[in-house]
Amino acid sequence: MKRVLAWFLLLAGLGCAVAGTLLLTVLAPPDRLVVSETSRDPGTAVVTAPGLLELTGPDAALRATGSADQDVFLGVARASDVAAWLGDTSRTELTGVRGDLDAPSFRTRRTEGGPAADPRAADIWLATATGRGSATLTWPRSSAADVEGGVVALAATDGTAAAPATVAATWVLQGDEAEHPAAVPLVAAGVVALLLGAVGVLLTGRRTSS
Amino acid sequence: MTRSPSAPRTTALRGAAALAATALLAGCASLPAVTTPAAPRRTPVVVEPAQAERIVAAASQSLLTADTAGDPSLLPARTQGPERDLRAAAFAVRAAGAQPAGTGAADELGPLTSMLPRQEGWPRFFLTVTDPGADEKPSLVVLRSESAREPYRIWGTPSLLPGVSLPATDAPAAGVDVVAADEDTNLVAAPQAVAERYADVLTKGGASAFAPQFADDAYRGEVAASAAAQTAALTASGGTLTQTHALEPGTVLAVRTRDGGALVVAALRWESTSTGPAGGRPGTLDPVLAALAGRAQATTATVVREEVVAFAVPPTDGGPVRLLAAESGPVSVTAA
Repeated sequence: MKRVLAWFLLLAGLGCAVAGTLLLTVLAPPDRLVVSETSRDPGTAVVTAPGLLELTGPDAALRATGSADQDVFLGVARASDVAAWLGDTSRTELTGVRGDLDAPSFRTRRTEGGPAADPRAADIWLATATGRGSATLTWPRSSAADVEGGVVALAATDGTAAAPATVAATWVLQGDEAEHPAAVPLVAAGVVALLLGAVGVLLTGRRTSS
Repeated sequence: MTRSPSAPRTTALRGAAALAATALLAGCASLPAVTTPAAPRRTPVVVEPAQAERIVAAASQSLLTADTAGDPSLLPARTQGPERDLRAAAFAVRAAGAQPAGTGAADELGPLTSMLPRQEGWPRFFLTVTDPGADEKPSLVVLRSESAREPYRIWGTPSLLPGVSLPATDAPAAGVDVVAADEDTNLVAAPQAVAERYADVLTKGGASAFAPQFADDAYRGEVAASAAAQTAALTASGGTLTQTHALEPGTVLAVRTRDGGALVVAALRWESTSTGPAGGRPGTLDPVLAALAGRAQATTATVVREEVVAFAVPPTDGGPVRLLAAESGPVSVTAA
């Protein structure tokens, strides 16, 4: 019975160590979280919920893409200022992410309303980017630390026409999201079990032969 | 039923596989969740310090463009209130070939420091002290935004009076508290009352009942000297001069200073009417006034000037109110 247990530990340890190593390497989760939302009718603006930009990682890389002839605006501002700017503007709010790491998507909330005004005219923005057809902006998480009440991002065109159809965000995954949570425990447990099993097999083998 | 010798190994293999599968399935990496930021403990500042610098730079650039072109249609983009009126009048004077007195402020506003109020909602304002302008004095630039969708526009650029020092306020990042126009907590007088009383002092001079509440200042001296000279000239020829200074409603802005007092900014309207002797010949108007009046000679002329003034209002029992900065200029002239 001891010999069976020793073999069990040996094989189980080997399996765990191999599985853990695979999870840390070829089966490791993606190192980036890329989430995109495309809508045919996003409203006048697409806006993130407070806290979404700081979802994970050191920064959030944003990209808004409209049609080739659209002047696209991307801005980051204090959440309360953007709420005041939006007023009753029609909009799509990106409230969170769902799905899994391989195929994530945004949770969205659509609010009907009217047009706004050209966002370029306002002075509420902490950072902005503009471009013909698309705009990109990287918001460092550290920049949000000093802004009381949190910040949000807003994508729009001229404030009266439809917002860019596609808004994407990319975060570099860190901590528990950056690696499979079972990988390191599996390797550690596997190594321990492997050693115990090997010792057991050796000891039970000597006794049997003597 | 007999078991084969390999049964223990098979069982061990199955057990190991089951353990690994369980670990894999139980530990699938999950998506991070959104954490809603905590509500601010205090009312936030209207703009962050770096944001204020960008806004001042943008306003300065717009002002420079408008001044270079001398085009009043470019002014509304980044100016409003007294500053827009004063600049538009200066452009008109310049277009007529006269030399405007100028606002005394710099077109290129190099910010030295800012006072950023902690304020919810709109309209909002903040103050910036800038490098010396054409008059070689630093300016106290007042920027206002009427709504979240509108930019900050330069509302006034009064120049600091010689020898004055601004009362200490908290650092830009810390923000300053806003004092309501009618709030007199720990102040010798509410901001609106201070502005109204100073207007009375400018109108009546030393005869004003409020004169002792204000320290002497260079601007008040200039206004009194100008009025005295005009009165003397007109009286000698049989004419008259009447003038009033009055607070422009809704223009009082104030922030709390570190000593418990307040820094107050307000706009005044200075209206003066000069009338020549009855039946006398028309007099020649000053070129600046003539440019705004659209005529060179007149028997009566009503000149409207706008003034932007800034005060240091001390806490209760802290002494007289001090005028810190002032600007003024004619914005319209009606002559006949």
